[in-house]
Amino acid sequence: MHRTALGQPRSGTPSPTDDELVLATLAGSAEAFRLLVERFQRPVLSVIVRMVSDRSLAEDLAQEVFVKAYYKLGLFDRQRKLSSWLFKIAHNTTVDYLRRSQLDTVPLEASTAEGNESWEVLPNRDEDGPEGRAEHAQLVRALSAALGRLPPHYREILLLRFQQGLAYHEIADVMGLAMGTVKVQLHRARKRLAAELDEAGFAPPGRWQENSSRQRNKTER
Amino acid sequence: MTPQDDRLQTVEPREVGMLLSVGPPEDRLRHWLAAEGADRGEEAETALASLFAMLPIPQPSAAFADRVLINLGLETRPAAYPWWSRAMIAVCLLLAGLTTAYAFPLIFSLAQFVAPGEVAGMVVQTFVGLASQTDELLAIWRVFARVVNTALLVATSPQVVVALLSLTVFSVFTLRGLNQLLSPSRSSEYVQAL
Repeated sequence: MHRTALGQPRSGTPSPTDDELVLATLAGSAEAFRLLVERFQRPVLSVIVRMVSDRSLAEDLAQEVFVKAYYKLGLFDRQRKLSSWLFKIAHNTTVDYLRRSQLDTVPLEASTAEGNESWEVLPNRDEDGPEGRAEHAQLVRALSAALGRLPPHYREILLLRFQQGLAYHEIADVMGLAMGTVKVQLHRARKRLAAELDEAGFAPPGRWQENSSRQRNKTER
Repeated sequence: MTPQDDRLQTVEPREVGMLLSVGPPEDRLRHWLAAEGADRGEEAETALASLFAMLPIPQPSAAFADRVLINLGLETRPAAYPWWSRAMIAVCLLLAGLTTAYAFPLIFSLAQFVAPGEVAGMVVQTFVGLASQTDELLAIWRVFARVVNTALLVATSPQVVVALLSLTVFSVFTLRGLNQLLSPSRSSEYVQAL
């Protein structure tokens, strides 16, 4: 199978922009769409997999996202960021699935065992040593578990903000919320995550514990 | 082609400030929880971003992009076997088919040396000899005899029996080979109809 030269940069040449790939795909280039998929497959999957807590299901849904994106690419407003548009499709697809399946929040511990071996753990600093690495791994597990105990919409908003780096207005666009609502939801999600970690025993002593019960009460109201 | 777009994977809280990039994990967690508890929103966001940077990011399966394109019909499925092995299998199947067509007279002539009736008779005699020793075996024999008599009525000639057996064996192996030849190496996962 031959691949065209599109998107195969020579050394020193920049890779094609999202806009260029979109235009090439609309012009009929399958290779351009392949590059788009390869460029965004990981971010899209990383959000979906933490929403549904099932690795193989997340891949299926991510496939569906890109298939839908291909058919709707002609409607894409190139003034927008392609990543936000893809996240929006991912959001709608995942929410539709969760509604259809009435999937309850599943702790991520239940699902990471089957997919964990293919997840890339970000490298720790060399100077941390074995204890540091163990500490790092423990915290990652605790953070993942706490994230998994949150409702799906809290998880999503935290991932979009803190893992994917979306701005408030982009999150608002993806999730179909007003910007003020995004800020409120984000605030509540952070508090809830902190409360989950507190309950898991990761809170520092002193001031946090005094404040956490106040915050938890506020969040739950 | 390696996945691009480091921008999406690098957390850049554009509206908040500089990302904390140093410090052991526990310190980052304490910093975040302390900022969260004291309602220092911007600081909490920055600290939380540094924690999220520690979370593993799943790597899609190697053929993810391929499957998307296959589902869209933009790419054909790669063959399960290389072209030369497919050609060899096709030639073998063709020879087998031609051989079978011309081998029927040979099969019928060979069947004359095999008399299913004689074989069945030997089996019967053996069983009767054993069955005469016990009543239970005799009861089982009566059932067996009824079944065998019915079957022998169907296969009235040895040529028919041998031909049927030969064709059955041949068709099983041929269909199995064709199935393996035509099956793709990957199948698409669930994709909801648009």
